[in-house]
Amino acid sequence: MTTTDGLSDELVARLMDGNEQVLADLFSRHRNRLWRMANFRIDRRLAGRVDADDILQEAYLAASQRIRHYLENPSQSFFVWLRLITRQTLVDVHRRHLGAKMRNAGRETANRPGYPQATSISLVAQLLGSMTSPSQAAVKAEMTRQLEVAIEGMDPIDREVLALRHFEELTNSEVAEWLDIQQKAASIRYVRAVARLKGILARVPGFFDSQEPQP
Amino acid sequence: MNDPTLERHPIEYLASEFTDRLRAGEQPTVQEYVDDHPHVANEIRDLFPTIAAMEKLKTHRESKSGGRASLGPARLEQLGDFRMVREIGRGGMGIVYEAEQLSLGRRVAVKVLPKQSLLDEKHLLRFRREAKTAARLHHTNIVPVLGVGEHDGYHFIVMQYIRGVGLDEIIPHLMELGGNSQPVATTDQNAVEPSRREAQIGSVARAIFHGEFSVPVASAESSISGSASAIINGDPAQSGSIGFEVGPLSELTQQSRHLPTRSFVKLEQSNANPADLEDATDDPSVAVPDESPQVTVATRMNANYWRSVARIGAQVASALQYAHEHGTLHRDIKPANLLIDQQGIVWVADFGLAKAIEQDDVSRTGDVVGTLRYMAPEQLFGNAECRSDMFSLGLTLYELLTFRPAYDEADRKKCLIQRSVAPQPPLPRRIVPGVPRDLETIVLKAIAEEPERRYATSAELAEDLERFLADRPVLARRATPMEHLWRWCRRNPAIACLSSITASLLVLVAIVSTTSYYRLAEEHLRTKSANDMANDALSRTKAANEVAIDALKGETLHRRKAEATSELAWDALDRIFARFAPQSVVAPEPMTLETEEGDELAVESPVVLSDQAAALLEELLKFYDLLAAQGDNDVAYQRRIADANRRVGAIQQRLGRNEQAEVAYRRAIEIFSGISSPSDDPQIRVAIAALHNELGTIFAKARRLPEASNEYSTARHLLESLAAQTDEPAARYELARTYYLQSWPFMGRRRRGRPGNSEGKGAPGRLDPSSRQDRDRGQMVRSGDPSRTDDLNKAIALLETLDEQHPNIPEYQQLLAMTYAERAKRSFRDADSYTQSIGSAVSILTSLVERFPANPDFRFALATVYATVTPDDGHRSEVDRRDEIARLLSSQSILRKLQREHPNVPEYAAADARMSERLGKLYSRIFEFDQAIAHLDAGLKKQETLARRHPSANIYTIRLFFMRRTYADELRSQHDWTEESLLLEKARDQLAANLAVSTEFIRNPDGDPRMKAGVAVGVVRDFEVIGEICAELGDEAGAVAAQEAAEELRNEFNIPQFDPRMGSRGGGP
Repeated sequence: MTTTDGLSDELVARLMDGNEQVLADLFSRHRNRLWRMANFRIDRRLAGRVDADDILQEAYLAASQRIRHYLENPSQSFFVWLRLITRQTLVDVHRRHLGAKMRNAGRETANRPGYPQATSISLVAQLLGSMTSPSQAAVKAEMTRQLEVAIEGMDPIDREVLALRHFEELTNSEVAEWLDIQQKAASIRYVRAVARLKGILARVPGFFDSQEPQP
Repeated sequence: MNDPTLERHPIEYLASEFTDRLRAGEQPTVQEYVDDHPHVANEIRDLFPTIAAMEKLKTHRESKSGGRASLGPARLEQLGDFRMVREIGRGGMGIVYEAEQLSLGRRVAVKVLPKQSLLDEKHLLRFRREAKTAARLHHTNIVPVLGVGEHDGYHFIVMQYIRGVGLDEIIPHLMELGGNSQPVATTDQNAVEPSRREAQIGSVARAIFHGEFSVPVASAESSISGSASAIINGDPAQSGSIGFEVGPLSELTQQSRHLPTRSFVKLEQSNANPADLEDATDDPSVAVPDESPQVTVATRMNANYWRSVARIGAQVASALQYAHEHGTLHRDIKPANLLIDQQGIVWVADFGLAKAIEQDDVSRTGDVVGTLRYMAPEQLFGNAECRSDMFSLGLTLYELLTFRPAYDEADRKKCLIQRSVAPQPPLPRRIVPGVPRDLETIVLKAIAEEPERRYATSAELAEDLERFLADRPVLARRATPMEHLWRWCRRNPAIACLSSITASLLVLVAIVSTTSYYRLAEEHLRTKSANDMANDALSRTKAANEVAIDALKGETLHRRKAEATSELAWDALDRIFARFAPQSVVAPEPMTLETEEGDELAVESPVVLSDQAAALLEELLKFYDLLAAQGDNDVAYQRRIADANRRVGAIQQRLGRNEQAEVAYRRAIEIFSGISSPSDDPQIRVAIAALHNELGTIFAKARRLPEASNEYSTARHLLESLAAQTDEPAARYELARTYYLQSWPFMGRRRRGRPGNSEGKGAPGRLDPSSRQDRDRGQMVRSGDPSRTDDLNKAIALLETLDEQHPNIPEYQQLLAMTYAERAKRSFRDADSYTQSIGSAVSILTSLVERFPANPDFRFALATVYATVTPDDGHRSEVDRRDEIARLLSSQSILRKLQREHPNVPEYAAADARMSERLGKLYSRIFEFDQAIAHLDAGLKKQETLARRHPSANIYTIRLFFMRRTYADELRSQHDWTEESLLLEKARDQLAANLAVSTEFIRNPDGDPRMKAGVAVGVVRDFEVIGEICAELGDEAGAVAAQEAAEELRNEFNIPQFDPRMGSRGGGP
């Protein structure tokens, strides 16, 4: 497989020439998924200050600065590269706005979380986000806690796989590339992760009721 | 994309399909999958509802946006009254759309700014102000600004829609036409958005190439101010929050009024029937003649093309002149901002926008980078002026002449940082021999490094281009041979020095010893070891010294002759002295032991000398001692003796013997004061004051601050009263120096006196309680102390006047540069002031380095200034960091060169190691982990070598501890990303390496107890972190052992438990 997946030689040549238009078009082709990633992973503390659009705008600029470097030595597929850039931008923005808090917050917990914990917080937020009825709100706090503990207990890579597959809409092969594991391993992890999540959600009373799952 | 099912888990494969269908809006049921795949029915029943739930949650979550308006993953379609038709271009400063203004049914261009670029009121005001100014510009060659607006949190600028093409897009086509490059993708090959646009670009390019356009250049007065008004308004029905603001009505003109008629008609036609551009080559105004594809570059670049370039330049220059007369700078002239329409009219876009959205903390847009490439050197340092725009235009024309950017894209940042030392780009005619000589001369004049050597105004540039077009002689002159010679001399001042090497044998010997040092330094890599070289220099110096001492001994018999000789010897040896122990006007970098508790312990920062340098100084000391011991009543001679004492003091100080240094300095003061009526002789009073400053510096470096303060005050009183009486520059210089010294970060900030103010007084085993004050002080430094800033400003004012009255005196200039650098350090949150100060310091030092290339002090100072800490309030972009990286790399490259030439000056290596550490941290912040590790690694190795070579210099060892911690911290934080346990192990090993040395350090019975206690805090922390790492690695036994060791040391050194509420550092009330 060509590492710059989907980029024809001609496109590569034009990108190398610094053709912004081509990059802009390619970027917008992947924009939705990148937006999802940014939106999913953005810290709640930044709400109102920065949104996913801002992140993408900045990520685009970063991409245009580094595209040449990437093309000279493409070590991953184009989308995965864009996602990496966006991810870095995101963390950069977090650091800019939250600064030292990030690291300190990590230090105080016994189990140093690193970023996978961020994934679990986002997951919890997503899972509970739609519970808005008064009775649901009452149990929400307790459920949040339970879910956080449970999801925290998941294997970090499982957690990441779920987020990538569902909230960022990556394909199995992209997940494999991002995590640097075999496709087969990625698919097995995915199934296992769904199973574990199901186990966790099943323990949260009323969760599936509130979701009106597909029959 | 589709992988064979075998490669993947069958459930995953089905789940993917299920998910895709959900996303496509279908309503797949779990049951149908169960029915179709009975062999995995249970798994499907078990898992698919969860999958469906997650997809549903995602949609739900994305639809309700956070606090701010967000268009979500959808793209921008409408902003109030403006319907986006298509995206025309994208850049750091925003996205440009072709749009339709619904209320007026007209076509406009809308530039939407990134949301974050106008975060607060101040920026918004500036943006509006600049846009208003730009809206007042009415010129044939300036894209008219129709207004600004805001909708849904987006700020945008509305401009006349120009059916034109950016010059940046045209250049590749021109290259192709010139046979200079691979073919540019044309319509047929174009995979992404095949368009008429390419055809349009191609046709404009061909017209330029063949000189088909012949547009008269508008004069600055040609604009017509219309009175009709076009009110732009957001559509209130669309949004309640439209704040639309445009200039006064009278200033909004019917734009078409001042368009050249031809253009107007053309645009109208285009608007009426966009299809008429389908094949732009059909357009009669840009008819393209047949051309032979076989012609060579030289013949293909015909005279018409050069004339086209001149015409473009003249139009832009005319636009610039008009804008400059109206008080507006463009600040961002570059090919992308120059649009060329089908008639060949050049439109300058984005006037003032660069300034309008320039931000303190948000200047992270890519365009700033893109812009740097065309930025004038002075603009880089914040001094934009009219001639900066001219420079950018010049670079653009250069690119048109040579088909390549004047500055290499890859190195552009590096180039820009070093622009003042970087050579001018090669002559265009060297690249493309056919470039007309006169045109080349014009362009070179426009891009002269110093603004004074450019055209005085853009009008002059336009005029000269017109002269070229009219085949008249141009006004610009090429540099004459004399100028070349002069510039060459300026770069080779060593030549000028040579004539002074004839005075006497003695001086010759001395100079040979120093110059041989240099020559050997250059050769040492392949021929001699550093030791050999220094020994060689040492033996030569000894020889010189013996002659000098003999001369002194013969003093009674040949008094006059000896005096003359000793004078020369003095000078010669002074050179050696200066070489090996430069007088450092640079504030010592405060070195403190920072602890997790936020305490700071000062570590003395003596000048560390290599053994050879120390031996050399000992030799010199003999000479000066001998001289200092002379008893004589002759006033002239007494001065010399006092001077000798001063030298003795200086040498002792550099050898780390502060007590002896103090004695010698005091004796020098005494002798000077004893010289009859010193008050009559300003020179002596200056010398006395200087000695007090030296004493102050000794105390300051030893952190005996009250004493230091006393000495500085004494000097200040002496000099202030002197300065009131005389105009003596030396007095004013020394006074400036005093102010500067008093403004050092740690001076004048003792609110409460420190009890143990000399080293070693703290109770053994306990942290000095006053150390917490150090922390307070640290905070005050950050917030800035008015009185110190006051001192610094006084120093700067004095030095600026001095430099003006006595230009080119290196001493003054160096100190001035250092004061600027100090001011930069203090310009927290004030990026403008920072940039300006650093810029001034860099340009002074750069010219000093150019004038005195052999002087390592200036180069070292320049390296220091490049590395000046950037004001950082935590809001820094990757671009900022990359800028800083570029500066640090420049600094490091100077330092590396210095090290090769002076392997015996450990300070250079130490600074190099510090640069590597900072680079490592910076690279880490921009996620270039490999680079981060590489730099941290290099720094660590260098520091290890230093610590090994100078075992007695605690500062190197302690610094090494810090660097290992930084390294370990970096490894840990990379582990956060990659979860590779190898990284943790490496981090643990680094800290363990620390412990191997640091435990020995704190057990050393001869060590300074306070220092040991300070280091112990770090050791405890290292143990604790090792414990944490062991726990993470699952090594419970290791974790427990490390914690126990930490606990034991806590008790032994009485170190309080770390209080997490205080944060990791510098917290606390």
